[in-house]
Parts: sequence; structure tokens; C-alpha cells
Amino acid sequence: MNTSLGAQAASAFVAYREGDRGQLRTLVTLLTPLLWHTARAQNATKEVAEDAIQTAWLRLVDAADSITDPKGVVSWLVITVKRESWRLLRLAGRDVTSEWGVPETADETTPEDLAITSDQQRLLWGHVNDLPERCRTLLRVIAFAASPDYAGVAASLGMPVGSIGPTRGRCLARLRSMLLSDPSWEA
Amino acid sequence: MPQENYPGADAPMDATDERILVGLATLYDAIDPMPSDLVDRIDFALAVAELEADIAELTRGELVGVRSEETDSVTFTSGSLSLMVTTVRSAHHVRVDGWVTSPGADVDVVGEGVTRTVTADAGGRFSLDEIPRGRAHFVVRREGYRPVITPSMEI
Repeated sequence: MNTSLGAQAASAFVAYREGDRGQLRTLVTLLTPLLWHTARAQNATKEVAEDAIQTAWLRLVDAADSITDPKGVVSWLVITVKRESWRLLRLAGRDVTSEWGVPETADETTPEDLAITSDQQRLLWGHVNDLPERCRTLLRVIAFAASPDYAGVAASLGMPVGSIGPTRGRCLARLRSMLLSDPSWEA
Repeated sequence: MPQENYPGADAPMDATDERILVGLATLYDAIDPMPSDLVDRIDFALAVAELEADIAELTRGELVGVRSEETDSVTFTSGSLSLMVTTVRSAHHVRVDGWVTSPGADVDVVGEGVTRTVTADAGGRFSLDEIPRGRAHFVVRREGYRPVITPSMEI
């Protein structure tokens, strides 16, 4: 990707703050998919995810002038959605540590299985589910950020992948080695 | 699994990593797609929020989802202000009964294409009938304060 998500978001956010209201829509379109997967990776129900994301955007508009570094807007939203998801889940008395989307047994058909249409996806899903939950959470969100933004987004989730530059990080390294040692994986 | 350094963890990202991540994004979009109208709904909420209002947060109840009950209640809070809203549904319309901690405040119910306003009584109570079902949010306006807006909810 030529322009990272973070850079695109920063420039839309700056333009919005300078009075170009249409840039807010650009920002919402750009970042809401990442925020959806951020909330869902915290085991938020769909309802909680929507509430948390809506609240985060409303708070961003409210706090727009107090965000000193426009490049921080992606992290700001990720952190807000994560915290708001946890707050709403606690409010609803839900167990925030419960597993999500992991088949109980190998031959149990889950809604996830039905949505998977290719063998490569099925294989990837199988390996993803062998990862620790922390790694699944991280990789799910990271997959929706562009590579220069990984480090910042990971840090926002409280899971830094490395101090300098877009290094692979432990979770991706682990998934990569699982896939590379699987003869069925078409790397 | 080593807790600190998994082999290759410190290596820079390469094309294989990118392919894995693209594969993951495609996978998650297939098994748990973002609702297609979510961006529109956020846009709608933001357009209203640009009234420079304070944002009330949900403190009890849920905003979205298929509601099986005919009646339910949610509570919003912003600073010292609380707003409790109970909705009672019929086939196409909703009656909204509410209570706000600020007697005499004006309360707007802003639905899709319709805004209705009511003034809370001396006890902070208000009621509006025949609101179309759908998404709506509330705006509480008081003399001398910034308006308070709630996130939108399914009524």
C-alpha cells in the first residue's frame, strides 16, 4: 500500500479540523472496518461492537481539538473502542474473556465454517485457532491496518510488536511458521 | 512457546507476511463482516453531533439489536444530567416515556426524517406518542447549557 491507513487518516482528520466537514465521512469510511474488528476481537457482541464504535466516533468529534498529534487518531479510536467495548460488556454482565468463534470439536460446524469458501481459508482458520487468544486478537486487528501502522495499532491494543519499525512480531512469526510448515499452504 | 522471542519475530515484514495478513483480513471479512449500514448510521449520528453538543453515554440497556420485548428502557448520562427513556411499541409506532434530571428541559426525539420536541414537566417527565419505528436519538436542551445528545438507538 502506498499511503498507510494512518497517514490517510491523519490527513483526513487535519482537513476535517480545518473545516472540511466531508472529510469526516472519509475518515469514518476508512477506519470503521478496523474498529469493527477491534471491537469484535475483544469478544464484543455485534450490538456492543456497534455501540462502542458509535460512541468512539461521537467522542472523537467532541474531542477533536484536544488531539494534539493527528497521526495518533487511529490509535486514539482503537483504544477508545477497546475500552468502550470492555465497559459495555461489563455493564451487560458478560464474560469478556470468553472464547469467540472457536469450534468446540473438530467436526462441529460453526457459522464461521459456513462462511469459509475456500480450502486455503479453511486451512488459515485452522491455524489461527491454534494460536493463543492474545495472538488471535492482535492479528485480527493488525490485518486491517496497513503495514507502517502495525506497531502503533498493536501498542494501542496493549500488545507492542517491537519498538522500531514494522517488525513481524511474535504472533505473526508464529502463524507464519505454522503455515510455512504446512504442505497444503500455498505461500 | 517462548514468551519472549519467537524465532523470526524481530525480522522485518516481507511479502509472505503481507500475504498472510491479507488472507486474514479476507477471512475475517467473510466470517464476521461489518454490518453494511454501519458507516451510514455513524454518519447520521455524527451529523447531529456537530451541533456541538455534549455526548451522553449509555449507562443502562442496549442500543441496537432485535428487540423481542414490546417495552424496554435505557438510561443515558452526561455530567450531572441523566435521561431515562422507556419505549412501548405497537405495529408501526412507538410511544416514548421519559424522565430527565432537569425539569423544564426541552427534549427532541430525532428519528429518521422526523423530529419531535416536548418539554419535560416540573418532575422531569415527558411523553411522546406516534414516533415512527426505526433509529432515533435524543437531544436535551436547557437554558444556559450545551445541548446533550445521546447515541442513536433502535426504537
